[in-house]
Amino acid sequence: MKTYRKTTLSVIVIATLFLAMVPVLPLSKPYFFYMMFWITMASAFNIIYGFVGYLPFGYVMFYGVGTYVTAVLWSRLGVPLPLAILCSGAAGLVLSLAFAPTLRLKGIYFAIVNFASAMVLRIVVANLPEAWAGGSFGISLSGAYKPLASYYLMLALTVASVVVGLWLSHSRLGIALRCIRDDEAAAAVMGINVSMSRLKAWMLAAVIPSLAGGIEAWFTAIVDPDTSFNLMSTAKTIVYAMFGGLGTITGPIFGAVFMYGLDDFIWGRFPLLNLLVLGVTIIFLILFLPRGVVGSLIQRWPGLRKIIE
Amino acid sequence: MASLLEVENIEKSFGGLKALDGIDLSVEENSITSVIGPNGSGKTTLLNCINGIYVPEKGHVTYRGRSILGKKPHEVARMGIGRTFQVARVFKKIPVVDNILAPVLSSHRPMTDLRREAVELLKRVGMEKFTDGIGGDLSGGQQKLLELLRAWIADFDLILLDEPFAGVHPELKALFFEEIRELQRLGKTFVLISHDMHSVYTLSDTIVVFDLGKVIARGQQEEIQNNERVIEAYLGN
Amino acid sequence: MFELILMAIVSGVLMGIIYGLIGIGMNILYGVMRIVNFAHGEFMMLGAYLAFTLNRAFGLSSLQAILVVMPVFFILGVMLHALFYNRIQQSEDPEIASFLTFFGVSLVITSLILMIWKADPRSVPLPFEKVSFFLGPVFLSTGRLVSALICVLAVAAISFFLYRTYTGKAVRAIIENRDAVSILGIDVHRVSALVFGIGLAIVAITGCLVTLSFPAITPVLGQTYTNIAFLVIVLGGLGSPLGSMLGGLVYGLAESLSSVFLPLALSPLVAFVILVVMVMIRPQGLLGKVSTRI
Ligand SMILES: Nc1ncnc2c1ncn2[C@@H]1O[C@H](COP(=O)(O)OP(=O)(O)OP(=O)(O)O)[C@@H](O)[C@H]1O
Ligand SMILES: [Mg+2]
Repeated sequence: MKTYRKTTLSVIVIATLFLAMVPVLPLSKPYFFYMMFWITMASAFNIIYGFVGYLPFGYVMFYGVGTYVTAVLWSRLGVPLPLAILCSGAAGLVLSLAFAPTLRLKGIYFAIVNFASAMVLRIVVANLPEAWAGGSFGISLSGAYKPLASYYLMLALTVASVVVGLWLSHSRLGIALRCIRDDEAAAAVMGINVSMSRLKAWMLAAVIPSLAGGIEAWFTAIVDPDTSFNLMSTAKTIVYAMFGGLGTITGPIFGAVFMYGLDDFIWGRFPLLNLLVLGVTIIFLILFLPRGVVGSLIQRWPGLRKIIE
Repeated sequence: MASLLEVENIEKSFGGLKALDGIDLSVEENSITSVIGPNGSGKTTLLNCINGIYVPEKGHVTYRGRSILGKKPHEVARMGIGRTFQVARVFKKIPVVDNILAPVLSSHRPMTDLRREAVELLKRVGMEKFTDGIGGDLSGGQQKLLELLRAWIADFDLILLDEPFAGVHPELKALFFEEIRELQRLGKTFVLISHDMHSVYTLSDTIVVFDLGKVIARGQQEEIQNNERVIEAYLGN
Repeated sequence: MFELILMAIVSGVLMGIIYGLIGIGMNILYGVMRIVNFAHGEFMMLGAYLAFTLNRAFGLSSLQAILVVMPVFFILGVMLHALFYNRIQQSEDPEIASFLTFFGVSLVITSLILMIWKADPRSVPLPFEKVSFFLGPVFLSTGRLVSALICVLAVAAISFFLYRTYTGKAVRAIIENRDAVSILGIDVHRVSALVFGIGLAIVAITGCLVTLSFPAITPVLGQTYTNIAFLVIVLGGLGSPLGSMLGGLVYGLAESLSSVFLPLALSPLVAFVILVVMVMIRPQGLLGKVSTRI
């Protein structure tokens, strides 16, 4: 138990050091920024889908609200950016609480209601007074453009979400969530507060993408409703997390790194093919590799669980 | 002696069927009360009404003098009432140790202590080699034993056992007996549902007989065996 | 104002009938196989684009195109069944698995449409001399009226199939109780294949009709129709094919009446808000019974 903890931690430290060096190396900052962004999204999504088994098909809304809160606070009220980003996180929490009643829905109902809610938010945001939310053109943050600072903030968030994932998988909450997934009624009879445990995971899974949204808004310095509430962002999050393996910690990281790389490669060269590849990958994953790469490896060689999580 | 659990005149229906039809039950502290009765007479439903899975339409359930009617299952558990299931419900995909830890996740004791205790409990019943395996790897009888270990680690004061001996290997059954006796010695109280009359007669302080959702007899072995309504309920159909 | 509302009601009913058939196509797959076809709208668009090409290449009208696209889609449905059905049923959570699989399919179809037909709006010439006319004070679009009539015919045919034929009764039996049917010796696998074919044939009809009811088609419209289909079947009750007709009418009326009172940009909101509210308060649909599953 102790030794593999050490391995995991040293891998995290090395990866962090490398990512911290990216800005001084001749490497593309945006590329690595978005790689970290997707690691964060996929890892946070794993908390609610991998651990709890709820598929929020409108997951993008947490990110979207995060981008807008930061953009509006900075551009309209002059709130300093780091503080605005914290407010994005708070907004994510509030949103997750507002949608807490939907947690009593199961399976496809939860997925659809969440999806529809994201659509509602998108339409509402796009129709807010232009003086506030910029309408369908969005808001520019070019006056605050600080790619280096936002890069390092994203690095911090990425490390934090991976560590949160690791903590969760060993924590009481993590065990409780696994029990609930296995047999909800039995877990309740054992004194596990089912709805409270789910709510905690839901809030955790919401605050991270909202923070990521705030940071990303700072990094790109532009926010608009179509990008902020794009269904494709949910899709990519799901695919990246599934590709690596839901319910594991390394899975979503590996999936995000690999699939984002592939996506970026294809997108740059054959934009139309990108959608096709994403679609085919989803079908393939669901039907042939539901556990993802890491998950399948662990299933094949259970001993691996001691080294990778 | 003080009564720990008091069930008063509860009724619970499923559609048109009255599964419980005015049940009264009083469980003394540190006793073993057995509930017997033909299949479908409402025994499991009684347990479900006690630990909050169902809410009875009528009647009262009090534990240590406080009403537990309408409380959620996890709240009932945190008050000190644990149970096992007729078909054991271990978490099949989860390590056996974590399975035992499930009822103490809300406690404030450090995890390392709890883990150590869980492993000790597994040793006690000779199941330590399964520690890192998953719940689904255990046999039916071992799963039932694991449910009892949960009650042990959680320190439940009242333990509801639903058919603990059904389908359990005789050797394991003997172990079960010992464990129940030991827990009783430690001050625990049991409600035991069983079809195994030998076990019921050996263990129980009181026996309650159900038929069609009603109590048709209560008392000791002789009173039950000579009760006409009991004979009718068992032999009549 | 009164005339505006009257027109909204008439057009709401016409569109509602079409929406109802769209819902039936999705709902029959869900009812029989628990397959959530998130590519429903994209399949419709594929049908619409096929109608467009049939018109360009052979001069077929949208109505004639139905007769060609329907059998093609029926075969497509049976093939998709052969490809996906078993795998989806074996997965841990078949409903969610089907949902995600068909989301993948929707992306594939959209990208194929973009590659073949490009992103520009396309339209098919209407096969009528008068594209619209007045019936008393009510202004009617011929395309929508004809579409609604065809939908009524299709619904009548589907009802006949479901209530009067042996296979149709088997389909309903599967929807009602999936365990009982194997006792009766009904071959669920074969019926599922047939239903998949029928479901997509219905999609073919609605897809071709879209080119009659709306001036232009674009690849991204698919998502809109998927959303509508979802809303309709949630309103009518998941798994209840004819309930979809009611769902369609309710949504058609809600949509057209809201367009009288709400600004245009907000009208898509109506669908989503109804969907969320409906699932939260009555997940079993307007007519459905509360399920006793625990
Ligand atoms: N969830 C439910 N829905 C409908 N009926 C139920 C439900 N639970 C129990 N019943 C019915 O209530 C009656 C009592 O059932 P219960 O399980 O309590 O009996 P039991 O005494 O435990 O029987 P057994 O000895 O077979 O375990 C039975 O007729 C049963 O079919
Ligand atoms: Mg029972």
